[in-house]
Amino acid sequence: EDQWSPLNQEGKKQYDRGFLLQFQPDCTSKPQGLPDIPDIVLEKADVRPHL
Amino acid sequence: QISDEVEKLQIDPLIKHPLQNRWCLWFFKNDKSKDWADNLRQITSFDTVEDFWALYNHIQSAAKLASGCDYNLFKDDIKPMWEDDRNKTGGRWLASFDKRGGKLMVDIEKLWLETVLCLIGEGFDEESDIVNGSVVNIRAKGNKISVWIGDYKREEAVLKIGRRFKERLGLPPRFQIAFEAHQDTIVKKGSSAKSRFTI
Repeated sequence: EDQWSPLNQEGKKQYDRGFLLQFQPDCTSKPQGLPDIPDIVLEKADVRPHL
Repeated sequence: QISDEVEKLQIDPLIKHPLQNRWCLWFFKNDKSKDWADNLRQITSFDTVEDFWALYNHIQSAAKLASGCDYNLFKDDIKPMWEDDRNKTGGRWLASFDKRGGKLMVDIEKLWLETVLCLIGEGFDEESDIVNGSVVNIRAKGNKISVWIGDYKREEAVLKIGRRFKERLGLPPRFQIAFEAHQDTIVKKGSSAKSRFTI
């Protein structure tokens, strides 16, 4: 198993959808430096569930 | 040594999960008063799982975009256009969700997210190195999602990528996706380019 982890930082960074999806609800801080594009950039996080 | 490992595990929640590649999200809006290139804007780039979600949670759902808009997700050093050196010799797998034909009712936002997760999670396995990016086109006559590949001549890799793309989107067998080389799309006559493969 050559998967990246905190203990195997040289491993391959491959993640399945389930692994990636679990982080969605916790990442609600607005990224810095987003351009001003009112059509698409939201002020508040909109965590859209995808089950 | 054991105490070193315990220490690393304890700081685990603070370590963001790095992605294999750095990706950039672009937005295209069809404003006819401007040149094509001026309508294409970089939103931001990211290289961790957490930074991806922070971005995704702060942009409008693809399903709510106006007709004529696109999101493009490409590796950070590749521009989402045919002219980029890494795209010139490439092509795209295209899934067209034609509303007129009533072919398939789909949640375009969900399919776009599935595609993006496949790209950033390196879901194309060994073929990931020639996957350049992905595009969702929101159009009144039917939305489209495509996966852009850097070398249309690597047929076996192209086919593997197409099969994985279709599988990850959960498309039924009767729903066909088509592969077009960009050079054919550029010289196309009529509304669609010839397909090199369909799956």
